Amino acid sequence: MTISPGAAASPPDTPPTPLLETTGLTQTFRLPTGAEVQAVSDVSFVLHRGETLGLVGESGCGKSTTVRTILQAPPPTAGTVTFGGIELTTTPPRQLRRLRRRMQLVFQDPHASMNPRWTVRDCIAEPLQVHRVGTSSSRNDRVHELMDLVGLDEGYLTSRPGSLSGGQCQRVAIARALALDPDLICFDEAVSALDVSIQAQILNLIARLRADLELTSIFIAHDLAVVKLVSDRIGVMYLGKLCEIGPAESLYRSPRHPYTKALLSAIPKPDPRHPDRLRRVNLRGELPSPTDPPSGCRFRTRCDRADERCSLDVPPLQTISPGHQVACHYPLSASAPVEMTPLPTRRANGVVGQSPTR
Amino acid sequence: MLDSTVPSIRSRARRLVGARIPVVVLAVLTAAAMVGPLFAPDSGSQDLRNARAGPLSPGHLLGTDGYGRDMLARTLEGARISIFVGVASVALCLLIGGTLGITAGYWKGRIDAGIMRVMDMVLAFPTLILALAIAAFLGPSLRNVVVAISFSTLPHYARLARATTMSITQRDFVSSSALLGAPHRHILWRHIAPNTVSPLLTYALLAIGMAIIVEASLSFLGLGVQPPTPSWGSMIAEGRPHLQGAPHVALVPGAFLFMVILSLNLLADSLRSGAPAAGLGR
Amino acid sequence: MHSSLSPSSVTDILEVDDLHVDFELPRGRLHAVRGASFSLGSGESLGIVGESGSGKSVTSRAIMGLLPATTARVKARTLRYGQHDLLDAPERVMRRLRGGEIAMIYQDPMRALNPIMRVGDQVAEAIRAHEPSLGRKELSTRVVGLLDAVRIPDANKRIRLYPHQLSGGMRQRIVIAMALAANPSILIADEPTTSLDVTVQAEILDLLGDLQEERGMGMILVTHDLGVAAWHTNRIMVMYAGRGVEHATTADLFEDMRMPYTRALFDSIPRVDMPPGSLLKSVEGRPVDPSNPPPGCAFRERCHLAVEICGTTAPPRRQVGSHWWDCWDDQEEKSVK
Ligand SMILES: Nc1ncnc2c1ncn2[C@@H]1O[C@H](COP(=O)(O)OP(=O)(O)OP(=O)(O)O)[C@@H](O)[C@H]1O
Ligand SMILES: Nc1ncnc2c1ncn2[C@@H]1O[C@H](COP(=O)(O)OP(=O)(O)OP(=O)(O)O)[C@@H](O)[C@H]1O
Ligand SMILES: [Mg+2]
Ligand SMILES: [Mg+2]
Repeated sequence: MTISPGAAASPPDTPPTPLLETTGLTQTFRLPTGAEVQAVSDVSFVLHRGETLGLVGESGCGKSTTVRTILQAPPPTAGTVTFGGIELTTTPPRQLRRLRRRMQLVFQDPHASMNPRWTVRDCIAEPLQVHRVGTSSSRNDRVHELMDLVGLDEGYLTSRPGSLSGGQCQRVAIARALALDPDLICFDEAVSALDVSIQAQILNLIARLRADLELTSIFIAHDLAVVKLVSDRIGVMYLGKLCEIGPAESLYRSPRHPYTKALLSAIPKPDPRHPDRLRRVNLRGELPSPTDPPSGCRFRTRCDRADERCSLDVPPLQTISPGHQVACHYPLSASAPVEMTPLPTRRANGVVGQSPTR
Repeated sequence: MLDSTVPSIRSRARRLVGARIPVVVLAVLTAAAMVGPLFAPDSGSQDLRNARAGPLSPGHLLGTDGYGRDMLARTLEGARISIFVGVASVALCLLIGGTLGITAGYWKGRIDAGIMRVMDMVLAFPTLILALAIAAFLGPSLRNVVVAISFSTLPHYARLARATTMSITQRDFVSSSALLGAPHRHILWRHIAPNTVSPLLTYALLAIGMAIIVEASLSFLGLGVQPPTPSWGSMIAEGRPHLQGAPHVALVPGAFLFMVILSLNLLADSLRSGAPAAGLGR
Repeated sequence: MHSSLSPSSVTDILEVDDLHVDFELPRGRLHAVRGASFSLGSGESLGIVGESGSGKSVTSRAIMGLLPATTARVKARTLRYGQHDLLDAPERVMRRLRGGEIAMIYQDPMRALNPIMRVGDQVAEAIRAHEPSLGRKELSTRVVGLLDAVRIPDANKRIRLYPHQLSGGMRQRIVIAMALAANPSILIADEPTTSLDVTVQAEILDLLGDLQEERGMGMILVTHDLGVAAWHTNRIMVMYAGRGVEHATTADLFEDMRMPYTRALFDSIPRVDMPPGSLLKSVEGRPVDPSNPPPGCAFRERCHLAVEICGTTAPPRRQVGSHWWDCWDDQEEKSVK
């Protein structure tokens, strides 16, 4: 298994070149009704080799679209995507197809992402076949190696995806994505559809592969606890915008965007006496329609810190500490991470940012 | 909680009738059509003294026709014609209609609009009338019957293939393959085509029956294969004036026609409902 | 032992003792539930937790009498709701209990709703099923009242919408409103939040908890996530391979997990306080094949404490107060040795 010459090989004093960089990434869909949806709006970030970026946010906030736009399926309506020094948005289709062997996507529903008529062997060998890698016997060896890598018994090689459990099928999907030794793997909710016990197995597998193969990846989920386990940095999205991005640990310790904080408090904690039980932060109202997002800050309709400024100016992504950026006019202070006045009732129907810290 | 075990027995019975019996009937008939003429009396030998002899008459199990020819031999030979026309026209349609439909469904846009416009034009004519017109224009012959039937039923295959293709293209495994960098050729051949085959084949089973009926109709009207080659349609036409005195001349080929069509319909039904059909892997 | 599962068995409205469900399938007999015992008092909420295929849904459907009569064989020492024996209640009685006294909420709200009917009408229909004599005006007041109860803002306007015009969370609220229409005394929620986002999941679980308290309902919350059960139940029964393997009050269970499977299930949950890159202690291996359960303890293959006897003889049930568990490993005995 070859590892792409990456961060490890570059001289220590030059800053490592990012594997992936997006600037102002925007994806606008036109609906049959004529309305337009800006599913991804002005998203910029960099991803270094060997790094995993977690993307979290509620359903419909544009996580999948971000990843698909990066993979040029379909290409963005505005902005740039630089992958390994190559500008993807202007790459001609033939060359792009060849580049695809360096970037892979793992889908949410493992069963739907396999041709139901194929055997597991066919599914894993498909990428090798498409890119004409090796001879049929060396491909076969590679398939066995991959099965071993993702912890699947070789007896399953002749099974059809339909007869595998969700967890086994997701292992096949991961093996398939690893087949070509890609530089970048995107996991789109790869564990969200699985039972917690199987989810744990797949998360461990991803963590192990990340360490062994020095994978560079983007990992999407809607549960922050899941994302934290496998990510170095985390980006939080809301209605197509990136509202906070930073190192996993510091983002959890002191979330600076009110939305991040609400997401954090929503995670079910396996502890009946956890303090969050008394001070859950509920978001007020509902997710606004993506066809008609609020002016200014898109989160303002559900944020109790919002004032006039939030409805007028779009908050830019600002660096507030090294590597940690937030798009908020009134970010939470770093010292008051999850500090909130516990309310007397069992479940508080409080809203974001109750404490008058500003 | 009210349902008892009755439905399960009924559904099992239905599956049996739905799959096994039609397969047996069709297999026996096909085999008989292939080897039958070797054993049955010569279908061409006329014996006017023995014209329109009833069934079970000596030497003629199903009787004879107006020229004293053996009905069984002629019906089995007619079966060969029917089976050939049915299978050939359907195969032609599967190939051309399937290709057109998959192309339209996969590429969408202008290619789709172009192909489907033409198909809609063909579909605007009643199938039988169109087939009649084409057969009349090309002149009566076995090959022309196949062409006429294929052309007039083509749109159904194209539409089905297009709809199936469109729904398969939406599935994750197709976009997964595309994101892998697979060329269109690979996606079409390895993913789309194999998954369009089974709905098309189910339809084709029904369509064989339809093609056999159209062939019979064309022959009945004298636009199919030419005498003395027998075809069920022309045999029924020959027997029609004598329905009173010698009904078997028309009824024997009619009964065979009925049996074949019914079997094909039952088989197609059982395939569609997903029940495994004996002898026909999915 | 079985009658003393809960100290407050006087007020138990639902009692399930040693429930067994087999399915007769063409390829053989499948043992979906192989012994589940619990009881539920009014105003109490019980969590049934276990991995996929452990028989949670079959258990809840057995209570509702919703298993296919053609294939399912239900046996139990006791299966009682109030005065009714649910095992041989006639279908007429079951139909009255279902939706009336015992209501159920499923995982996928879209499947429970009619896509071409306004949500207000669907809730109205649920009310009318139990009170056919209600006038139109009263009915619409009741509908709006129910939607208010499930915290749907602007209920007056939303009753005119169709299911697809609502978000997943709102749809699930409508389904809950329909389940509440007849004022049930037991609400069975089978993975009510699995298809929802974390933020919405938290809201729906809070709502269910509040409603259960307000209305003094008994609630059974079926989930595969111990984390979900932690905040929203009073008691928990853990199921493995169709069998109840541990049962305790929620506080006791999280204090002291005795059955290794419960601990494994707990360790599978990613927690926010884990540092990035840490591994979960997941249960490796596969769940047992329900058509051929092994002798002895079903969890043995995946258990790090397993000893020889686990493979031959079913583990004994140990009990401390209302906390019981099935396991050969016994801390006290060991410390004595
Ligand atoms: N092909 C498309 N045409 C029109 N709108 C689209 C299309 N794809 C996505 N959208 C819209 O873009 C928005 C973002 O969708 P996306 O699938 O990226 O969200 P997500 O964050 O991945 O959500 P989920 O957690 O549900 O997967 C949604 O409002 C969605 O309806
Ligand atoms: N109607 C049925 N006919 C046959 N087998 C069934 C039927 N319903 C459930 N089973 C089987 O019974 C076993 C237990 O299923 P059950 O649905 O109760 O699992 P569960 O714990 O609810 O899992 P999940 O978390 O996936 O919902 C499974 O092996 C399942 O395949
Ligand atoms: Mg998505
Ligand atoms: Mg279930």
